[in-house]
Amino acid sequence: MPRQELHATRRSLRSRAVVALGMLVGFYVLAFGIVVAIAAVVVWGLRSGHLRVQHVGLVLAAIAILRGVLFLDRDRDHLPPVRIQLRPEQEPTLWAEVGSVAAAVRAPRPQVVYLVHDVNAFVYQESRLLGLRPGRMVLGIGVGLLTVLRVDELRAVLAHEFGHLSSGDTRLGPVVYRAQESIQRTIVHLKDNLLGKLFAGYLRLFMRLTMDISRRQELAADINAVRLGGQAAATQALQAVAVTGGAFDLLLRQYVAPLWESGHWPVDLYGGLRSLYAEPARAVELGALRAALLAAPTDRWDSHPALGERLRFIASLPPGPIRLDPRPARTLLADPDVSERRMAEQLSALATNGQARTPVSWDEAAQQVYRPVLQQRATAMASAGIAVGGDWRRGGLEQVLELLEADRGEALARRLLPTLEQAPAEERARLTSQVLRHYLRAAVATELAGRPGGRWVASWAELAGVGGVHGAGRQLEELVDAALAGPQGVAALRRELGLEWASI
Amino acid sequence: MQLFNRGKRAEPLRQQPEPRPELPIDPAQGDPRGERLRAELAAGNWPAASQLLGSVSDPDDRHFYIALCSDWPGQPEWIDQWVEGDPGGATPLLVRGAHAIYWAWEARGSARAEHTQQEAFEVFWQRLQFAEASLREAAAQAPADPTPWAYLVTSCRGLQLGLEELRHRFQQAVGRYPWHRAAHLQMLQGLSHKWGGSHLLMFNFAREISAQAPPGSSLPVLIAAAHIEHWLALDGDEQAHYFERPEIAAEIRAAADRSVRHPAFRLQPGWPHACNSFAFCFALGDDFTAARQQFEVIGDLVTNDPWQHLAGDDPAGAFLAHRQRTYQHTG
Repeated sequence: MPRQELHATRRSLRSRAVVALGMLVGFYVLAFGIVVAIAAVVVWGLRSGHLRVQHVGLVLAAIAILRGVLFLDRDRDHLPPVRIQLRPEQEPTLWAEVGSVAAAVRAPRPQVVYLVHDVNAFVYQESRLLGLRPGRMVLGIGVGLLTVLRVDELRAVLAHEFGHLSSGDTRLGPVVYRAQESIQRTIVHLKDNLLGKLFAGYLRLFMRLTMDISRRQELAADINAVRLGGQAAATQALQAVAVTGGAFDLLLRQYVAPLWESGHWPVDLYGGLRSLYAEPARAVELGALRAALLAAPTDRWDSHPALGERLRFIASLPPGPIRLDPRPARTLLADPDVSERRMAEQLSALATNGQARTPVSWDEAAQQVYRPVLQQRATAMASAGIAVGGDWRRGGLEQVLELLEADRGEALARRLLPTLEQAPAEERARLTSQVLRHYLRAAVATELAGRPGGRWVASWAELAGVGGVHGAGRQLEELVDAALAGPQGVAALRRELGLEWASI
Repeated sequence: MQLFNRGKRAEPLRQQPEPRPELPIDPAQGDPRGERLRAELAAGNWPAASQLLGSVSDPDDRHFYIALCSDWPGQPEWIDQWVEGDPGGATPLLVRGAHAIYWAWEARGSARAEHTQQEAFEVFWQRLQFAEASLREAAAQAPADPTPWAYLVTSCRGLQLGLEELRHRFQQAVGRYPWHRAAHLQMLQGLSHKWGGSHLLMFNFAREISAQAPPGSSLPVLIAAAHIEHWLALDGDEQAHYFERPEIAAEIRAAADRSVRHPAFRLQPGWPHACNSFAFCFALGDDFTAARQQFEVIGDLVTNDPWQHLAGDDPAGAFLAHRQRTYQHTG
């Protein structure tokens, strides 16, 4: 069954590839044909003395086309900008794993293996001579991937990538890619005139076809993943990669960007990713991300089918072998901590143009960089409490708690998030709760951190947490949640903060 | 007390202005010592200014005269000369800090083409930071002086440091002198909706202070100031008829009875500002009898605030128009 699937997919792929090549040739024929036609017109104009101003426009168009078509870039290496090359003698375990998967899938072994920064893996073939001569096979494995997957899941991922190699996908790849670039440049040079529109239409058609091919290639490669690694591992790997990608984005946006902006970089970036991924307080957020990814349909411009489609396809295949290997994939590296640190350093240097020079631990990040952010939020919350409560003499947090007790949280939320007004009714309750949690947490944390023994520490539930005092850590989350749920929770938070007040 | 002229666009006057003589606005509000102070500084004679200030003991008066020294466009040379010439002196530091606040607001209000919004804000921020440093130095040099703290209430608002910090600084000022006029007026601004507070907060403050202030104090002007802030936030018909509303007119009249109309009201330096505020409210509320009473007391001592809310580039013109209208209605 799987063999037939594979062959059927390969046949339809091959016929589409032929059409793609045909369109590629057609593009060059079209382009050169137009150039020749323009040349003929110009020559006739010169000979017969009917040279007009419009002819200049045509000549410029011809030059534009030639520039686009013949862009004689050297065969650029499409090397990832952040990379660490892994040599066999330095990383024997990983190389051995790579080699064994390649052999099992009957794919050529890659000649170069890079460690890259993100949550992804890829293979490509370096191109020579406009893509017509195959160059070295390159495998890239993301540290973000290694940090989250198990070895059996990693094997499924590698089998998928090598599936591309063994079916010759990577041979067509560079040619198609160059053609796309060629057409795009021609369009850019022609800009908005009629010829430009003509080529743009051609490009759309070409892209549709190549994206279609690409998606079929991905499914074919998924077949390989299941055949080698088993259905369960392949399914889990795909989901983990998709969700971890989202977690990585969140990490970079919320935690890393403020560090980079202030000249710092996190030495344990990937440890942070692991912690974030496993944080119970983030489970809802990541769960929502997973649900969204599963529900998203495949768009015709996507190079990969949507996650949902791929998982359904995998589920339709026979289950394949079951070779459990729960070891974390990062243990395949000779020294995972060192590799992760080097990658974090490189990524930070690239992202900030070398400006992020000060390495920090996550706790130091909390104390030096996140603390002012949270203190700002606490100030905003206190100010909102005073403004809505109306009593200029009493503390902001006191008035916030009073307002929560009186079920006037929404008035506070509207102060903190003015756009709440325009949100649709169904959204408003959720947003209100979110905003209040966000700010109340910061206010309580700031209050606790100011107490004797209190200090700011790393947190994955929120930007930073507090340690060393009673009521901090997990308890802080619970206190805040309870306070937002009703008056008893508020009373509990009051007692914890020592802000007991007889409410009128 | 000069509140800052933010150059508001002209609101429509309630009647067509007729050609009228120019009425200059005296920053000293008719105070002879104030006028002398301005004249000395215009000539760069800071030692004379220093001596004059040294003879002032009342905190409200002191604030008034410091404001006369600091509300000066650009960067007058005599500020730095004064600081250098009187090392460790609290007064020159105070003047420098107060001036930097005025100078900061110049940057913020400037609609000059060469500054983008973003740039203007950055300059505003920097000048305020500079002001704070000077003011804190002044506070350290003169620990009993409420004046630096009153100015720190203003800079707190500009730097958006939050309402708790605002309260802290205000309490530092009034802890040194409970009825500090400028500190209260600046606190009111800080509590206003447009500066991150709310109408409720602002009115609670104004009413509480007004009720507690000793009779004849100028502090009930906070009621008028609060209503003016509220009026500014409205538009259309609601704004046009705001001061006519009976409960509002009554509250303002009651406040005037406790301050400017009270027998114990003293004509301290800067007194015209309170009368101008009440005149504004009465005139806009068509309470012509009350307005006339104020205009008679004021004479020609018009102040920028609150008339700049009606005509940012010609507050005196707005004042004159309303005075004329009031006189017409009261025969």
